[in-house]
Amino acid sequence: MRISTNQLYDRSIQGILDNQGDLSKIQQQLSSGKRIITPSDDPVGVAQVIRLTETLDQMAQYQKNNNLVTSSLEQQETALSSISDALNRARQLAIQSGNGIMNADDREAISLEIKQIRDQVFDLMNSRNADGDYIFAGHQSHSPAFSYNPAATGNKYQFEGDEGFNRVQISANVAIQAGDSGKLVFENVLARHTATVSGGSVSAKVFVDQQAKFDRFFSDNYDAVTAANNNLRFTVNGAGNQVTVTNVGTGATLDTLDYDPTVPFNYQGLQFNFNGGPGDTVDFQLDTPQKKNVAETLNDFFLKLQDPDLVGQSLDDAIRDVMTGIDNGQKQIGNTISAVGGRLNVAESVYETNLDQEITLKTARGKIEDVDYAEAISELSKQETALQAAQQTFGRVTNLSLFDYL
Amino acid sequence: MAITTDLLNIATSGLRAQQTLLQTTGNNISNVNTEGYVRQRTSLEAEKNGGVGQSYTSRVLDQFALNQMRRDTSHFSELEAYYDKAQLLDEAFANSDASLSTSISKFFASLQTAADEPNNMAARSLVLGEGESLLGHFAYLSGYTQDLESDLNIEFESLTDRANSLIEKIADINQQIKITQSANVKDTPGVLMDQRDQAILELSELVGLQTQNRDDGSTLVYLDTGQALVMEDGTFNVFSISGDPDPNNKELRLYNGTRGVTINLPDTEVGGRIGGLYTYRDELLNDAQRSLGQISLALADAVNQQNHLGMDLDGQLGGDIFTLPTVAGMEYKDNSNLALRLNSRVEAGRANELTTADYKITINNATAGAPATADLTVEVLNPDGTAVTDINGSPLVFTYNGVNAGPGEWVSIADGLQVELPDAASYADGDAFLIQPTKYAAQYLDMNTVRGEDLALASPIRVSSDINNLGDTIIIGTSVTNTTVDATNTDPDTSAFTAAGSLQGPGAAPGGGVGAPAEIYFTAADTYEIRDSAGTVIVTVAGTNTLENLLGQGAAQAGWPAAWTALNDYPGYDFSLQGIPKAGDSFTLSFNTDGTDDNRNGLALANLENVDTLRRNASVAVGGTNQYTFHAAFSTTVGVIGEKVSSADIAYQAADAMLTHSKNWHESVSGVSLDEEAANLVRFQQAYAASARLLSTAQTLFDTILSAAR
Repeated sequence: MRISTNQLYDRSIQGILDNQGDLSKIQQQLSSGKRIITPSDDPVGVAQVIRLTETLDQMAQYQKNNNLVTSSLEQQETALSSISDALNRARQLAIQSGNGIMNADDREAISLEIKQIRDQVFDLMNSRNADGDYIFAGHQSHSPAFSYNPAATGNKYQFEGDEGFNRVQISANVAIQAGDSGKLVFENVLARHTATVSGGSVSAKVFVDQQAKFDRFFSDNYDAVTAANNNLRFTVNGAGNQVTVTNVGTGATLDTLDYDPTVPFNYQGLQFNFNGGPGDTVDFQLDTPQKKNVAETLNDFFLKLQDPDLVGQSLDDAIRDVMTGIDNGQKQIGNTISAVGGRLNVAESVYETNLDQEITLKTARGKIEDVDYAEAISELSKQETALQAAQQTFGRVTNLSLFDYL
Repeated sequence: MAITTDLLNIATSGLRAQQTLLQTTGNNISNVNTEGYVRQRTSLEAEKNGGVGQSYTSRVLDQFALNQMRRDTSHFSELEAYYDKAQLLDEAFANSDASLSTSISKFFASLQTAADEPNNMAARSLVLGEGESLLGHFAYLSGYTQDLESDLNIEFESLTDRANSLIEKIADINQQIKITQSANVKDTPGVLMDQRDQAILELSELVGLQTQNRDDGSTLVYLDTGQALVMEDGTFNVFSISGDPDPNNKELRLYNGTRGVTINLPDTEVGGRIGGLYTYRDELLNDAQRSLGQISLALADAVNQQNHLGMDLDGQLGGDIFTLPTVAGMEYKDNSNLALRLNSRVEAGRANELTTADYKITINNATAGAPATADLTVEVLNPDGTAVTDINGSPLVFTYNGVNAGPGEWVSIADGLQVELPDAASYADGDAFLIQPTKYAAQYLDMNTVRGEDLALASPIRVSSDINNLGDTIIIGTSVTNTTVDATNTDPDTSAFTAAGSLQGPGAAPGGGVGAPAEIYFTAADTYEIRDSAGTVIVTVAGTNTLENLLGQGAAQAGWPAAWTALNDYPGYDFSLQGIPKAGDSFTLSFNTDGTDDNRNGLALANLENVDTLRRNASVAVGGTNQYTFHAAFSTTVGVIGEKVSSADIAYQAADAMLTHSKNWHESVSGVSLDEEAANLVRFQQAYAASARLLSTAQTLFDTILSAAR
């Protein structure tokens, strides 16, 4: 083949330029540590890298969220456990106060400690987080969750927030509840169910003898819609040895029981004392169920213990009230603590999963975009040699000219 | 006598011939570095009566090699132009440190942080800060693509100018060659031909060419697509560019000055650098610009709409976070009056239907009246002006007859758009406008608010259970789907929310009478009454087996007010319970006054990152699989650019190799080899010396005869 002079130069220079281009590319890869310098190097890879980076960014945010929710759940757990401990102490004191050898002064002393516990519990129910938000106030966390108004006619400790709670996203698919509303934890606690004698032809007294049995009866029969259906009547039969229980509102006969006027009459956990002859009636009603938070329950008990005349049945009732209130409250708090614990477990396991996944994703991303140093360095020296060869041969080839010999 | 004279003649002709040969060699040597120079060779012919006759100097040229080189040059320049430009776009879109995707992630991450602590003002401000920087990123990328576009237009002009001057030059040299050649049939006018071939080669860098050599020495030039550039009669066509209606979308035309005719060219098929740039514009730049616009509009609209469904830190219903631009339609040059206008914008809440298409809107039957009306024909176009087709291959065209025309009359049309015809009845039949909703949109988005308080992280609805409830039900979720406030209840989108931050009370709800649902009262475990705030029963749902969407179940009952059913989404909220209610249990619904530590809407805002909110394909209706997320859309755009650049790279390398090969071929035949010329120099020098020797011998002979005769 005939080679023209220009061709000789062009070819040599082209060779050098090509080698330089390749060398610079590898140099760029090595200095950046990335295999993909521009998307055209691996278009599919780049699209994957963008998606992987997005997922990793999200994951970093989820981990931040996780830390945040963990600390707020832990704070809540601490507050709830403290309340629970305080209530246990109050329960002890309540049992102690029922001890027959206690006199009014002793009860006064106990009442003071109950008061302390009441204030402590109230304070904990209005716990605040680092931002100063009331953690049990629901969405209205700017103002205290519970207020105390000694002049109020009903409950003196009132819930002021709402039932809202926030969720925090801790992974693409898992959002966990960050808090619990005080309404559900503290406020939605039933006070002891009671019944009251409301009339009849003979006088009667009633108290709850077996609370659990009565509670079941109450929950089955209480009618929140029609108040009259909560009025019941005992009617002693003609022979004076049986009592018929009827619902005054519906007129339905509920039961017929044997009756002996000389002994207390038991009905569904209630104990009645009345002396009725044939045809006599006793009316009683299921009292409207009340909800009291533990602070209210403790406050009631404190007020009752302050009364030096509190003895016998009234003291018993007061103790039953506070015990039931504390037990119901404890149950709710316990449920919440275990729910919080469950959420903490979920948060922790999701955190671990996210960490694992982060490593997997980073590895996957690295495989796509990171340079293989061993390969790149050997490629670099190969290109270096090629460039050197091209440069050396350039001098040799172009130095040859016939004119030199003329 | 005769012999000596002949010998002298022979010697003289030899000297002259060798001199010509030496001249040719010298010419070759001195032109070794001349661009486009084709080496020449002088051939000699022996004279019948002795001596050397006429010498013919011609170019050593392989026409096939030359043609091949021109073709390869066109091909190479086309791919080179495409590849170089595409790479710029590629780098701007995919720089991983400054990727748009990172900005999108950061924006949504800041929303997450704000949702974690809805009362934290710093976190709220950060969201708006990140929003602003996201818009900045959109604007930067969009501005960059616009700069690329205007650079491209400048380049088109200079390239066509250059092509035109080359065409003129070729035609001019053709004429000179014809004249020279007719005057001297022996020698070819090598220099002129070299110049012309060089001009053709340079022209072939700009456009793809075909040539035809004529016997008179002229060369006719055609475009690859068949149109003549330099014609037989010496006339020629030149390129002109213009953009109608989009002045930034230049189209290539061919203009014949003598005949005054203009021909449209298929601009991406002309080849060469010009064709490469057109292909780049139509395949990459246009799509990249519009994808950016689509992503930015869809994101802004989605955030706005979700923010509307929430309640801000001031306790008000959320407003817009971003402002979406209004785009003026571009009038076609044939319009009856170039002062007529048409405007377009994205309809709030419908940006998920947006496509990357352009739209040609033709107005007919503009009729005066109050309000004026007109018929609209909407053609969906690709950026290069061709029709977008549906899955069956027919062009997508929508018609809207008798729509309102006039200032402020926004008419909803296909693909999430609204248009306004501010010139009411002044339009003539056939007046048309081109709207490009997405082309530059990413630059014109703005923040509507800079107050962190305006971020509506809370939900505007609150459900509270009555404390005396005896059932064990819990509230598992509330939903808000519509917060449109309209005191007159005439807007079909009206919701039960009021401007004052409450729910419509008795008498204020559409249709009068009862108020908006404000209480659920269970009369049995499976039966509940939906009541308004005054306790009036709106409807009773009996025998239900689920406590999901309690109001939705009410809306399915016969007693649900007809005025509510007639609306699009009333009351616009709902909630669900779990557990078993007891008779007498009650749940009240109210405005979430003071409920600022609420992130229900914040979570929905942050989750927009994972929601499929963008339309993939203009040919298929939006919904289902025809949607993807912002990140997916962006990574698809980057992926498409990368793919095109990567395949252009391979083609470019191949074209480079082809061009090198054909250049080698041409050079091998027509290039000057100094070694060869050196050898020739020696050879011709010796022949010259020999001829001179012959002359002196002839002279000696003559002298010998003269002295003999003396």
